[in-house]
Amino acid sequence: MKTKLNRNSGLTLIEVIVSTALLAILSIMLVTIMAVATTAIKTTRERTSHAMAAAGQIEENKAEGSQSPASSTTGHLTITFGGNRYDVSGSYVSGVDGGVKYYEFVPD
Amino acid sequence: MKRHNSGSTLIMVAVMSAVASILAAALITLLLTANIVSEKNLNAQQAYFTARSAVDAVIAKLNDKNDASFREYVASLQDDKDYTSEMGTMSGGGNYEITLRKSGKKLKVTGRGYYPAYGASHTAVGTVNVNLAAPEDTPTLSPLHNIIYITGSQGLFIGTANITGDIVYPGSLNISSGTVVDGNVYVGGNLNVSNGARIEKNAYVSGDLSMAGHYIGGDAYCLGNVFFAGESRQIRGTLYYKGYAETANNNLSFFAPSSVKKPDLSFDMPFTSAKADTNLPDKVSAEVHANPIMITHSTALINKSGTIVSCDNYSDANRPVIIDTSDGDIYLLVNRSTTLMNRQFYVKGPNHLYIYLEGNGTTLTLTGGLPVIRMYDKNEEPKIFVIGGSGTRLELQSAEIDGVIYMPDGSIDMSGGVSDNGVQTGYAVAGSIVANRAYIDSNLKLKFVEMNLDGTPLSVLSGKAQGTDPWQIESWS
Repeated sequence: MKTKLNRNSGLTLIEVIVSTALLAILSIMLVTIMAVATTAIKTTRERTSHAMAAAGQIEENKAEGSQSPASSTTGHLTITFGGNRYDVSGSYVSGVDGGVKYYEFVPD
Repeated sequence: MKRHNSGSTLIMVAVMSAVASILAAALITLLLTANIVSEKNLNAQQAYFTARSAVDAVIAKLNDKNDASFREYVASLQDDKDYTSEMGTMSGGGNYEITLRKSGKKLKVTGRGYYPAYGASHTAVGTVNVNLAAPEDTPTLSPLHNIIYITGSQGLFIGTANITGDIVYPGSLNISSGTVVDGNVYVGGNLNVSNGARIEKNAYVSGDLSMAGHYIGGDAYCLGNVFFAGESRQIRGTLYYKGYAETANNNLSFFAPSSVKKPDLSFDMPFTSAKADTNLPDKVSAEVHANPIMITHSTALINKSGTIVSCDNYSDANRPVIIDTSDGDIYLLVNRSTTLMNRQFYVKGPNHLYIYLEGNGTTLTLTGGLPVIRMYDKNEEPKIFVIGGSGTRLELQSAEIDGVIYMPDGSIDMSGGVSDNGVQTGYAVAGSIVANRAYIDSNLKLKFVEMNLDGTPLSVLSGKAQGTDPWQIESWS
């Protein structure tokens, strides 16, 4: 007696193969994204940390003013009202940490 | 019934893939957003520093002792109106602008920083506000807050006089013969009070104080020695002295019964270096010189500035000369010695009369019967200013001037009585006198009247000066 082929069993194998391939691709993608995300989060966290440190340095250097020549350069800032220029002499102090650099002008 | 499950696993995986992809996309978007926010925060921090730099620069410029230009600019601003600066560039810090808003003696300074630059994409903006208060005006001594203020140390003689107001004199002074000073007396040398003279308020003496009657009604402050003779109670308030005391009866409390103190005393004599310009203002000098004024018996009205070249002797108190200031200040120049005999000058109108004495040796004399220069309404605050240059002289012979007599390098002589008869008020001067030398003869009354100096060449002596302290920071925000 001729046994009728059960078509469902064959298709399940293909499904499994395709599904496995899809899952593999998806997993690789997710792992990659997670890795990128982790790096990005770490970078952002570090940058925030550097920014806070640089801002803190600005405050310290500003407090020291021109007495901290290593972190300041002399210069001036100009305010212009109604065509009249008012120059203010002072020094530019900077705060640097990691790749973050801030500047502020401190009048004499 | 047969179940048709074919493809269901694939569909499930596809759905899962789609969901995972959506989640991944969301994660990526979140990461990108976080990165942009982080970048913006960094820029915003720099923008804040830039804004603060600009505000600090404004404060520094306001308090720059060597350059008043910005303070003058701020002083010229209208109240409750915003003034925004042009956009400036700070090295490494992007752009900035300042907005000023003044309200009385308060100033609000708003600094805005833009980083990376104004108008660039993703420009972060930092804003800093500071509320400032102008320094308080510094009260300074005005020579015109006294009835007599003498600039030279060799020139104050007071006969028997009745004086209301303070006297400031850098030399030594005798007050005697029943003279009454209803005010304070500041003396840079020695002060002698005798023969029934009295000072109703305080006496400040840099040298020695000699009392031989009558009394000082307030406190006496003496940086030198004190000498007493005669009656008791010659110091009615507290006697402060720094040197030694000599008394006729070896009993100091006999002369100063209220209190005697010998502290480590010091005080500054109120001598000011402030000086007004005694020159005729350039803007009116041409007009004044171009209009010679001859005062004759028929002259009844002066309503235009000019140079007094002559004045007839004419006596009729019922026909005074009206000086009308309705159209503006009147400037009368006296550049050669001139006598105003028997004449009455009454000032009418809302503006000022300035009489300028010019030229070394130029004397303006008021003499004769009832000579007077006063306001038409005797009760009105005087708006009369006699301003004398170096070497000029004012002579009042039984004459009256109500107003400010400002001759810091000139002299004034007053003699003869002044009547209170409807024409004159009884006072030789009702106002204020500043001179290098003054001679005040017997039977004279002087009275201090404080005048409004705003808008006059003497406003520099008003007794108030812009404070030299820095502008105060009231609050940051």
